[in-house]
Amino acid sequence: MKLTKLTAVLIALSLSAGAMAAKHDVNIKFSKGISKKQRKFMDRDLEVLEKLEFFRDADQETLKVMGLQKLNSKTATTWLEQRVAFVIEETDWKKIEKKISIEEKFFSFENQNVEPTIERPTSAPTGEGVVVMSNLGAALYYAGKSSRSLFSYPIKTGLFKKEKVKFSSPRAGLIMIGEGHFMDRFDHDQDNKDAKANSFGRLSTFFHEARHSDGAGKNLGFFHAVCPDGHDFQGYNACDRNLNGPYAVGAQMTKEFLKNCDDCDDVVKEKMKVSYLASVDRIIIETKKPGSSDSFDVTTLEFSLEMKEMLLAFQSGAEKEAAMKEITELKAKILAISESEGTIEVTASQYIDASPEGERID
Amino acid sequence: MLLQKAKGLTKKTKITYLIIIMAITIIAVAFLFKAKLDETNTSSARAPINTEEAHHHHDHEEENHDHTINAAAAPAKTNIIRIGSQGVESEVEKWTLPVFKSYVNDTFKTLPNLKDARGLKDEEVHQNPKLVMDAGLRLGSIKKQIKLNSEFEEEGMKFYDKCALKKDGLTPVRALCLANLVYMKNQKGEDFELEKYPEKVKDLAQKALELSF
Ligand SMILES: [Zn+2]
Repeated sequence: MKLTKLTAVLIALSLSAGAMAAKHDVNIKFSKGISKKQRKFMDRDLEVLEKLEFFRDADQETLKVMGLQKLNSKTATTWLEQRVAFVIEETDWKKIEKKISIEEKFFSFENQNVEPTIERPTSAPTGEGVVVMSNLGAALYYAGKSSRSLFSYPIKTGLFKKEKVKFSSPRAGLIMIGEGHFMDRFDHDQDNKDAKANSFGRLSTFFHEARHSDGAGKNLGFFHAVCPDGHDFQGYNACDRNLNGPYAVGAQMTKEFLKNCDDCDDVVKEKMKVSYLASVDRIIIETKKPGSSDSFDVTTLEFSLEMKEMLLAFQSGAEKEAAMKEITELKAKILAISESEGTIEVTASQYIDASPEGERID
Repeated sequence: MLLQKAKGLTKKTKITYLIIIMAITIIAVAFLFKAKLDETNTSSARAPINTEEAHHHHDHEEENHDHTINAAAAPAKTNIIRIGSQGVESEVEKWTLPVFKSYVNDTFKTLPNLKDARGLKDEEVHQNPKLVMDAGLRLGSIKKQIKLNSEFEEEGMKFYDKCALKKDGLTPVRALCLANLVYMKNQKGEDFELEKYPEKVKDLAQKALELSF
């Protein structure tokens, strides 16, 4: 009797595994901890990508940003596979810390002494949120590199199967997904949850996150830059100071999806357009900096700015908010004077080398 | 614990990690879970479905109550119009002019502004925030109706102009409005002055015009 029960359970298990089988061959592994519902959507998205015809030629800009010779379902999926190896469920940061192991101390990292550029937001309240997607691999690689240790993270990928990601490169490719990634409210097509357009939306986010697996030295992880004054999101860490970062990747992929979505209706297309423009708007084309100036006005303002920035650390709430506003205004004033004096320095953003440092190891 | 494992890390380094995590994480804030959807604010191609709802917010323009809007005139199921090579799937999807005007007015009032954007949590801003996507949805409904009814064009262009000029509006939304306006003016062969629109809106609208309309 017991044996019969066991057989039944085994059959049920094998059947359910069969029913869960993905209809795509994209080589990205999923943690067992991901809910069936989320897994179904992710498989569907990858299936859409793998079967997408890309019947319209890709923009030259897309090829340049992605570093591809041509864009088709094969090159797009390969691009993703190179940057994403594992997808795990939303996990509490404390739990993640607990599960991390040190594989090797004094590991030899490339560019060991080069720090990536990390801009600190000058604005923006932080708060509890629902995770959409996060490139944990890039963050944990950097954490390991900073402490000269090779970190690893265990992932249960099957009933009896456990794998280990070693963070020997930002290309380790560990992505965490959360409930936010699947929320109806972010869908391009709110009338049909299974619409291709909704896969396109999630895929664009996936491509954006995948770009964080790239870069070396000071460009490691393509970390975001602080949006400049006057930008809709001024002061937030939500822009890119290069032409081929995550926002450019997300924007160009949205554009390509839009070009290849003949069955998207006007409402969906308009939503995709605004999504494309909102990503393009995050790309900082040039950075203006006041050059050195002997002018009394500039020197006085700069002194005042320095003082206010120092005091920020001791302020909070409305007081801090007011101080930040004053700082923004001061910066704008200094920039305006520099511009009129002709001492302003303008640096155009560049396409940066996306090659990653290190390489994946098993 | 990870931070403890990585011995010798200063507090500054720990803060740096947090900033990195924030800078690569797309998070939607918890309030998304709350609240019933306000249909008029969030639904896709749905027109206001009764007179009260349509006129509730405005005490202006629509004095003429002959323009009674009812569920039949503005069907709730307006969300699957597909205009393809086969033409319009359903005539019933068309709105009446008063419904369109009312929707356009409501849309203008609900367009997100800089204050809304700059009040968002850091994590919400990594991805396109919901308020931008909602505006896209409304612009989509407006565009769909203009395509279905050429008599809405004038009203539609007025809206696009106001939207593109909205000083405290969000740049991508303003740019899409301007792109639609430029496209429609071009289609009609009408002259059009671009000087009054700010450079950043024009630059982004230029990008939008590379897309098919
Ligand atoms: Zn990012």
